[in-house]
Amino acid sequence: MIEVENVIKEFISKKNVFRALNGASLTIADGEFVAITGKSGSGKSTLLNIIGTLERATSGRVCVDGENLAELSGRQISEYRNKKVGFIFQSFYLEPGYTVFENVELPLVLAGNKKNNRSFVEAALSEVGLLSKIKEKAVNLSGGEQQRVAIARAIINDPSYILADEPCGNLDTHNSENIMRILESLHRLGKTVVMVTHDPEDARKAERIITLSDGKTVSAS
Amino acid sequence: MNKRSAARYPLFRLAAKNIKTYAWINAKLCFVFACLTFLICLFTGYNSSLDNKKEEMLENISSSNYVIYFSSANKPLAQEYYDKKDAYFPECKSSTFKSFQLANVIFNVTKNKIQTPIARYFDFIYENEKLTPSDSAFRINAYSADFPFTENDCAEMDKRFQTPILTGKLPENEKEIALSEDFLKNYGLNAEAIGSEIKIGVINDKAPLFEGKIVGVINSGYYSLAGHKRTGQLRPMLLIWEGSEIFKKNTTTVAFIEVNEILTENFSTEITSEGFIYAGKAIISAATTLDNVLILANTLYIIIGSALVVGLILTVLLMIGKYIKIFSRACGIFMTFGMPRNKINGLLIRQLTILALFSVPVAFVLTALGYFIISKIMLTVTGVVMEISIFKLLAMLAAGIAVIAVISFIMFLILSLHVRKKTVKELLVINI
Repeated sequence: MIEVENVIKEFISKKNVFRALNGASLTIADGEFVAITGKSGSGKSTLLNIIGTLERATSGRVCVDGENLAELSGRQISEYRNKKVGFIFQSFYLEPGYTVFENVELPLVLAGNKKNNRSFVEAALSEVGLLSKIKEKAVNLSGGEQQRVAIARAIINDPSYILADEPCGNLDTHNSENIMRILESLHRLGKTVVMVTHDPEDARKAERIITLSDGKTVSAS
Repeated sequence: MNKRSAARYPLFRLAAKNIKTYAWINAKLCFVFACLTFLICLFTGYNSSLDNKKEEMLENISSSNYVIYFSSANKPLAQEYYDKKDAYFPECKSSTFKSFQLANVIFNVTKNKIQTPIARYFDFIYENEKLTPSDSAFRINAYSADFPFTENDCAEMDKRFQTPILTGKLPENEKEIALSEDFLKNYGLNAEAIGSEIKIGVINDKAPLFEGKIVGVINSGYYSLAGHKRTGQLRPMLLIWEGSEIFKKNTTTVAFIEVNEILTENFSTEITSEGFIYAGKAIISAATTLDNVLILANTLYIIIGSALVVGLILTVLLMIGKYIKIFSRACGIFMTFGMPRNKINGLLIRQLTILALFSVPVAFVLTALGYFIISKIMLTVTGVVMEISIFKLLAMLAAGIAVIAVISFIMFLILSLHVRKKTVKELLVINI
């Protein structure tokens, strides 16, 4: 379960202080598929980054499975990112020089795994339908394929939570549908999927939609 | 949550993978490291040698322009050469020999099979700022005349050399000279020459070395004292060789003493702890030419080195920003998927160590190749031969490796600080 309670996030620059989140609160149960929507600048991605510990909240409380993320040590945070959550980004953030295999294998390597990596990678790539591209350089793939590789990377350690930040933002309709089908299948497998999107079509595929506005939760349906 | 983390972190594997993934930019960094080592070797490990140039010049200098000097230390050798001079130097009838030392340049004459450098001829040894007579110096029918500079020099020379005036007086101005007794004797003169006008010069030089009045006779076989000039600099002794023709001159008046064309006003002098050094015009000319060659060679050297330095700086400036971005972005991805932040430094150290280690053999190759290419350029353009002392070169390579280590450390600090300042998200979104 993910519990976000009155989270504030401020970005401080030389000239001013920008408040991206202004007391956002929400709860996501295990196994839910939640879409977080809102206009640009509403704080959706910031909230997802905080849940994924890519950013730290200025104040407030974020608990995942009962553990307050602010109280985790550096090592615990690393383990959380490696084993508990899987990230999917709008810009994929694959290592362009790595092959598909190496990109997907990365979380396993960071977890210290050496044995059976190949079988895990192949399983993950089969899940997203890209086993045939295992030896290709990531940079040579299309946008949709790269995003699928990113999904395979996100699920390789079998995390409980999938955090997807605008997964279809850079894709065409056809590829978007493919990605959404994969996310739905992950949800059916029991994973908690939290997806940030500004596309109402994609949002409707989730079980619940949480809307943010000006850094606050305005509705959750 | 499982609080146990991986027992052994795959930092080396990640570092190697990073290097391989961005091989081109890492190769550039490696090359920069190697070039820095090469530059150190370039400026400190190579020596320029003029030996081949000297050989060439010796061939062109005529025998009459040579002088030979024997130091007291080399007296047995000097004696041998003198005894066998006709055999060694059949064309040199005026007791001149083809070996000389000029400042710090030692000429090894091979034409007449003299292999050892012959040193200097001194009337006096200048040691510990004191002139003392060298009665063991080997003299070849030579006389010398001092041209002191200060007003007190005459008295000072007298005091130092303990040569009292026999007859007459010491010179008091530029137009007066006190000649040595032996000098006068050889020219058929005696104390009666006091008051006579005398000109001392060299063949083919229109201006006489000295022109004035004989005012005294000195009890010394070695030198005469001419009137002084104020230049603030101690002039060298003027060495006048005597040839057999001189004895045929009119003994009542001495016009020009015919000497071999070996001496001019332009002495190359260096007062060392071993005494004065003499040189003739042609030798000076040769030495000047060699000096110019050396200057050209060194200038060329500096130009090549500077071009390399500028090129390296530009390379570093152009690539360092990109290198920082690539590494930072990679760290962002690694940390997003579970690498602890405190492992970043370990990753960086391993990555830079691998690069530094690769740089070392590249540095060796560059140094060898660089020496080969630059020595060819030097030889072609200036005629200067470049030499390497192997031991010195190895020492410089070791110094270069130390420089690589220092530069790696600086890179480490830059990258480490850059990554440390940023959040994972900020690293992730770096656009490369």
